[in-house]
Amino acid sequence: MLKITIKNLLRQGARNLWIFLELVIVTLAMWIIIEPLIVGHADRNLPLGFDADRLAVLTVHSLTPGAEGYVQQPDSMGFDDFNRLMMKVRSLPEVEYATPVMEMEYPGSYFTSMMMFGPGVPGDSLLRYLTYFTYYPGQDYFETMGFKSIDAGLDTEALSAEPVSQSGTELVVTRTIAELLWPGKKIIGLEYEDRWQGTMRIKGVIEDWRHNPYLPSSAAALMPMTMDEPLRDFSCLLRLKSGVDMGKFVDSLNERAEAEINTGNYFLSTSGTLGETIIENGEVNGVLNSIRMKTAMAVFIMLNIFLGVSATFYFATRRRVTEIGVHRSFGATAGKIIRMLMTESIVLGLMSFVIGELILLNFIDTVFTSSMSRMRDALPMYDVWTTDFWPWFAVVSAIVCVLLLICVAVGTYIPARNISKINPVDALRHE
Amino acid sequence: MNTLRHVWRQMLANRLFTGIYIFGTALSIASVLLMGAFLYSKVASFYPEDNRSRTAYINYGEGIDPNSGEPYCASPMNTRFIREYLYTLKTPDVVSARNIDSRRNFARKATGKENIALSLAWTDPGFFDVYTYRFVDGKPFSKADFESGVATAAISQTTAQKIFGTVTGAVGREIEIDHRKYTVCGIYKDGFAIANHSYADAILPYTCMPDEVSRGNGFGGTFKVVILADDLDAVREELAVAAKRYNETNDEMHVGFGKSPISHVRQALGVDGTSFGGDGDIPLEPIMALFILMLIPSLNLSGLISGRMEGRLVEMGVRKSYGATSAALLRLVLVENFVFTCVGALAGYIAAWILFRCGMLAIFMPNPYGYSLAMPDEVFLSPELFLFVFAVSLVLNLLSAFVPAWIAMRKPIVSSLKK
Repeated sequence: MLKITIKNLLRQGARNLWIFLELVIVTLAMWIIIEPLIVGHADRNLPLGFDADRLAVLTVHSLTPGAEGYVQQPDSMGFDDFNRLMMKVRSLPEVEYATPVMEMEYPGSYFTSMMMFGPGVPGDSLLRYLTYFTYYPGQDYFETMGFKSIDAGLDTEALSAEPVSQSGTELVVTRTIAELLWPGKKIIGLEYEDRWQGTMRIKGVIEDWRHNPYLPSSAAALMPMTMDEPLRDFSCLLRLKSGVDMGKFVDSLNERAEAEINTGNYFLSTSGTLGETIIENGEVNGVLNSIRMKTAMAVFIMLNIFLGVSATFYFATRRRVTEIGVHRSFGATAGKIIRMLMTESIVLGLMSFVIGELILLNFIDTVFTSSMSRMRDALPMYDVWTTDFWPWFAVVSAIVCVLLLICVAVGTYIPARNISKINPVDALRHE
Repeated sequence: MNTLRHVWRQMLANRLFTGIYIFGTALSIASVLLMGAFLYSKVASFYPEDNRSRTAYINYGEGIDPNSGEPYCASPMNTRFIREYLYTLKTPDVVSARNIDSRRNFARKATGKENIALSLAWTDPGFFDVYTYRFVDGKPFSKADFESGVATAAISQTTAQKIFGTVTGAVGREIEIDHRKYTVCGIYKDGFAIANHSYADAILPYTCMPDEVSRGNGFGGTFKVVILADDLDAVREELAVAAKRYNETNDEMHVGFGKSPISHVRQALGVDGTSFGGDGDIPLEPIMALFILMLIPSLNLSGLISGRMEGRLVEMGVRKSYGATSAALLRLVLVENFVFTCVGALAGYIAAWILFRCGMLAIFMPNPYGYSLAMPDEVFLSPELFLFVFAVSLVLNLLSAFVPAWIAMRKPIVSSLKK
């Protein structure tokens, strides 16, 4: 059957040229549009490395002088209100742990984390940048986030509670950062040098985590900070107990804020789940918008393929009435005619796809620069197929091929079904 | 007239071909038009950003290492710095500062305890000279109110409706925003969230802001500056002088202004005005998208036309035998297809208008806070966009019809007639 199919296709050469050309270009266009969608989807499904499921986020602001209900306080009282507020939040029956962080400085928010510009490891000539977030020791940060210490010296609770050293700045790094900067070494007590922060001592190592859910490997270190004065405006992360309805809890907070949270000049401004925040992050950074646009483009292209293929094959099959009539007169069933025509279109689609892939391979470095550089620079955090060339190429090619063939097959089926029902007598009389 | 009659007969003769052709063209034109409208809305002037052709931005001050002279960071600015070094610029007609703090703000409804989210603009009186907000009641806050730090606010019609339940009589009433009370000085006609430089539900003088937020260390803060000016090079020279003046009194960190001010068009192209940012190269993505939106339907239509030309070979052969030249026949086919394209373009224009009014363009725009992404009608109904559609139709027609028609015309008369 394949031989007959290819013979038929070659016989109609010029007629199928346009659709062949279109399918080649569509292969390239689908690659450009769908590749970021596939890779982005894969990235978003990578483990975050921290327990995001039961996290809620509160934004707490302070009343300012002149605001309704503002209470003038001596400075020494400031920490009392802050501590009382945190105690109230931790006492909420639904809350397991709670920790304050600087406003918007938590994973999943659209806060751009801070960078250290190295040079990095003392004595190492390679410049090592590092992303970092800050946390306040003694405020259940690691317990709330669900981070796990993997250093034999300190368990998670101890690491979380350990106060800031008086002798200098410290860092808690992730497994990947430790392996990259100090391969094969026991790193507690070793140093990292930064141009602005100075020399920092490594105080702990935790499991890998990603601070940006839209990037595949965005390992960040943690820097403990002393709270010299009470935070004025801050975010409060809550880990809820299992079994608590997160939506209902968050919705109820506005009603309960006055009685159960607001303290002194502190008031609850907004509340939401971390999941909602991650979505908001995606909107602010334009990631979700990009997904919507690319999906719309992909749908547009597939609609065009469907339209083009069905119209082209409709006119092509009309010219083959006699041939189909002869097949029918020799006993070919309608099903066989449909299979024959659809095989032709699928073979045409596959040939176009292969040509498109060969053209793409020649330009893949220039067209997919961000994917290529991600493969080059990816941190070895996870075994991610998106950072390996051949698995990446194979997966995206397979998806593009399937989508292309579905459109081609569906576009061919309708005219094929129509022509297969033709009466052989009518067809031959037409001749 | 004869040509049109001929085309009409052709349309009726093969209705399936006509329907597919017109639908395919309409789909392409509608998509191109929506994308074109979106891109146009980024640069065209419309209420309240009517002065976009003269608007420029100073978004960041750059921190410069005094030893090496190299910039190493950039930050929005604080009001102390802006008052001293940017309000004094002579070249711009207007200099205005606006806070870009991204925190969400809430106003309490007059009727109860319910809060509504608001987008605020903490700014100065110059804001109303740059952006032509039209007041339906009251007026903007005055320079005197601004200098005195009077707690006053201009609010949009929608905000007035949400807070007070009415627009009339809202001027002079108090609105509570983030637990602070402000007197409403004026109600303005709503702007558009897509005009994000000017959009706000309430506009307040930044002298009402808590000091810790509006000030800052050195030059750093949370404010960006917009100017109205014709000669940006002259403004850059003045900024260099202002930077020098600042640097003479600050040894730890010098300030620079990179490529600022940047025009509205360059800002729309992604230039941020810093030394680290790009130069505003035309972005490839929308151009590629437009290209794909036109090329793929063109290939579709070419296939259709090619198939149809085969069926008309006899007709072409007969016309040639009566003396028609290949050029005349080619012109005939192109004109026929151009009429089809125009009908498809009209259908596409109407479909795009309907989708536009239904807010379809929202898929092109990030909207984290659920604002209404309505667009002014003048963006869609502009002559520029209409000419753009016409040009696209012409290109589409040429791309799709020329090659198949030209190939068909090359066939000898005898083989056409033999068919």
